Amino acid sequence: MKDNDAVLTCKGLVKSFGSKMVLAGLDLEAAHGQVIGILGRNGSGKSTLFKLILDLISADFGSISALGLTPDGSGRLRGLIGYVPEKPAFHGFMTVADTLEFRSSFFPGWDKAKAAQLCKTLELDTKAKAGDLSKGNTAKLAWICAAAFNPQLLLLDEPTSGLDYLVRDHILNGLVSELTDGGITILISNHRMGEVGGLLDRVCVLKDGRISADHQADFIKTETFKVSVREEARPAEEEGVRLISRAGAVSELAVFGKEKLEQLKSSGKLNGAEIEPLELDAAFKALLGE
Amino acid sequence: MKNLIKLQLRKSLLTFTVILGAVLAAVPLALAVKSKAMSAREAVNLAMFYWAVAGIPLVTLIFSGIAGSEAAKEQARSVEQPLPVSQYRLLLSSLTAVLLQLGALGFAVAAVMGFSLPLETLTRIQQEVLRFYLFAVIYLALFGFTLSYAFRNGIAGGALAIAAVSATLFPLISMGEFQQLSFEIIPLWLLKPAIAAMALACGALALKRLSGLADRHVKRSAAAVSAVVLLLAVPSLCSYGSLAWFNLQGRKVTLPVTKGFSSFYGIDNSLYSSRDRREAANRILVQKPFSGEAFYLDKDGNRSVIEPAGTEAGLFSLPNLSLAYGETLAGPAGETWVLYSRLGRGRLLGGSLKTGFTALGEVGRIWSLGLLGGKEPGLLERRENDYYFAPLPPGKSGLDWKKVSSRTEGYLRFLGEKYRRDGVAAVFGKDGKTLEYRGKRWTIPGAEGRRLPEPGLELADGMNFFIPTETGKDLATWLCRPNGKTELIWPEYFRLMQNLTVAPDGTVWGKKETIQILKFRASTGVYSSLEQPAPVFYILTAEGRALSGIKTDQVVAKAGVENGEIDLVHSAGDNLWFVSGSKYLVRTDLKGAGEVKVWKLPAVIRNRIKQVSPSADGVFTAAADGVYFTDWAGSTRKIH
Repeated sequence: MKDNDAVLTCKGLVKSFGSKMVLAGLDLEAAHGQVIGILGRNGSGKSTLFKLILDLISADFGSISALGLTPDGSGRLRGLIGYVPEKPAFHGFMTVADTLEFRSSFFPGWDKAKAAQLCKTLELDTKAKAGDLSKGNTAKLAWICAAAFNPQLLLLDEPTSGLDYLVRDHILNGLVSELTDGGITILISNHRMGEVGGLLDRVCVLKDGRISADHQADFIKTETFKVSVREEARPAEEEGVRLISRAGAVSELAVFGKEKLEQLKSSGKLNGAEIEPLELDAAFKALLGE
Repeated sequence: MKNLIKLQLRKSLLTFTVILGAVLAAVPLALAVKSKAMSAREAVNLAMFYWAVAGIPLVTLIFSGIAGSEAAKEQARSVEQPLPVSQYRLLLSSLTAVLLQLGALGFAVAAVMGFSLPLETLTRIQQEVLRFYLFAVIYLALFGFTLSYAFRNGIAGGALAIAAVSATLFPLISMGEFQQLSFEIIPLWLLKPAIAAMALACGALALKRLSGLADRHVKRSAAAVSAVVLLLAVPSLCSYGSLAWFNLQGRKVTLPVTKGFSSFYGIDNSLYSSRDRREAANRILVQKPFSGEAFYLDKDGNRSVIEPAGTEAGLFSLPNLSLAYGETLAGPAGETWVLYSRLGRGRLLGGSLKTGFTALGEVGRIWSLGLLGGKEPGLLERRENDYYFAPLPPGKSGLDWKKVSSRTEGYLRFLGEKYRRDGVAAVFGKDGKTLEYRGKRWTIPGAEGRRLPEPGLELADGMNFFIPTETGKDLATWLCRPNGKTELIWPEYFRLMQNLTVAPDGTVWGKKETIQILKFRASTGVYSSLEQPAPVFYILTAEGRALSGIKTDQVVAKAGVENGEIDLVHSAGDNLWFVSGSKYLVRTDLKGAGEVKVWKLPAVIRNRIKQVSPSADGVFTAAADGVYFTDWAGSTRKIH
């Protein structure tokens, strides 16, 4: 990736809370129009990474450049980045319309027509008080707030957490697809990455405070395999080979990359093994080492 | 920012409305419970006054405590922090909303009171508190908000804010009271606004740093936390630092001990021998008002303590000031008598600079007492109905008081007789124009002799008598010299013990203060003050030269001081020495002109006059940092 293509560049990010180091030298780049899934276990630092990019908290060390700006505590970056937090919250005394009106005064690129259209599309009652909204409708409002000013970078922190299937589908298949088609750069962190897998260009695994693996989404979709093999013949775990499960005499392995699969085959380690494509969810699980 | 402030106002609308309602409800409540003796206006004003004094500070704590602790909560963070404004601006908007609401409440209270204080007079402390009121409310709001935000708890934040604000204000208000008494011994005019500005700046900066630590999770280090604590403590530290400076400077302050106020007219112990007069003036009775110490000091720095210093207050204690009053008499046998009073306790002391002073007894209030010199020195006392005299020294059983006259009869006859017995008074003959003294006679044209003995003044050439006359509009002062000659010396009315002053070297002088002249200017329609001419002096020099109408325009031009006064302190040869406003020693020729030489005297406590005491050899200055002696050549040295 050329530097001038990068919408977001994080270099050597370190962040600790007290004695706990959450990010330990994280490097990440996102190009224009890319949709990147940030995969990590609870507490791995996904939300911290997003807050650093949003300039909500400051890094102990390292640098961030997003959309040509660097975090300086002024909040300017948040005027350019759409953000859907894991637990969106609004002032309960405001109606949906008040909330949108209030927010519009802070974002120069706020598109009132678009906000109104999104409310219609997502079937959100603008007269309802924010404090009375259901969890799903609160999430919808957060999505509208994040998208209404046409940001060039969108951060989605567990965006479907707690949403029912219908709302999830509505958002993912409707809104996000539309946004990705518009060339926006999106970073998504999600426990259930399978449900957004179809939208991703890249998947980055956040582990031990760093990006431990960075794969193209196509690679995950087409070059991950499930290998069922007898326990006594099971090849050892190594780079590109992960143990998924062990049930009696049979073990299941995830193998990443055709090259690796061929290498194992040619070494005779997979004799008698059953090989099939790995489902997306299972592939993400394997990447996480779960 | 405007939208953020509107948001914060909306968030606290309920609390504000309830409290505003309580303010307004106080009006009918005050009317309902008022006593019959109180008018409706007075009752309402009283209620509003309590709101202003106690209610608004309490509401300040409530508003700032709620806003500060709410701003630190996760709910506010998750709702407002994603907005594209700095977290610090969010906090400032919340604080601004608090201040606006307090302003609205203050306006409501002031409006009900008719925008005027319901007090007719204010004590000095009340005036100081009033001066700091607006600052105190803003300071309390800022620190209440900041500390409530830091501790995420409005009660803890409010309690700490009260401590911080009190620690800053108490020293400032306390020192400010002394400032009003003209004891500005440190530059409080600068320190007070500087500390006030610093308090607000430090509070705002501490809030910014706290926002960094709490919201932005800036790496927390001992230095970062210490910096916040220091910022919050700096105003109080500076305030107490100023207090320590004030106390340190206060320990150096000296003032002359003077009588202050006397019940008697006509007592002048400077009539007696020139030796006694010089002796009495060649030392100064000085006090240190912040420690309570009082002592005599001669021009060589020899010291004799009248009252030792009390227990010295700590550097950080609130200042304590007590002024001493006193009077000195040099007796005919070289002894010194002292009437001295501090904290309402009058004492009579006797002794000398060399041997020290001994307390001779308590004498009550010294304002009703007067020391009388002469051959039989003593104390004159005014009691409820009579006047009493007791000779000095006291006997074994104390002062031997004897009634000398009734209150209605007055004491002047007794005084005149005493002056005559002491040999310092002449009497008029029956024609009322001939003055007689020890066989000598002077005839004064136009005199209407008094029945009482006429006091004279012993100068180097013997007894001199100053006799004023008034014939129609013609005023004159005649001098009866010891050689028997009568001389019209001044075309003005001057009399000893009335409007003539005797300097320690024997120079006698009176002055005419000119009054301010107002002129109406038709063009502007207002009265304007014309330049006030300088006082004019009438002088009999120590060598017996009578000078009339000596102008001091040149003295004022070169050493003029506002609110000051010009006194003649010495004459010798062809020169006169004046003290101008306790600030300058000025030498002129006998016409008050020629080469005017000005020497700046050591700085005295601001705006205080009569800090310079003349002696025969120079002047003592009880200055802000000690006692100085300046000789007639203008050479100054510190003697204490």
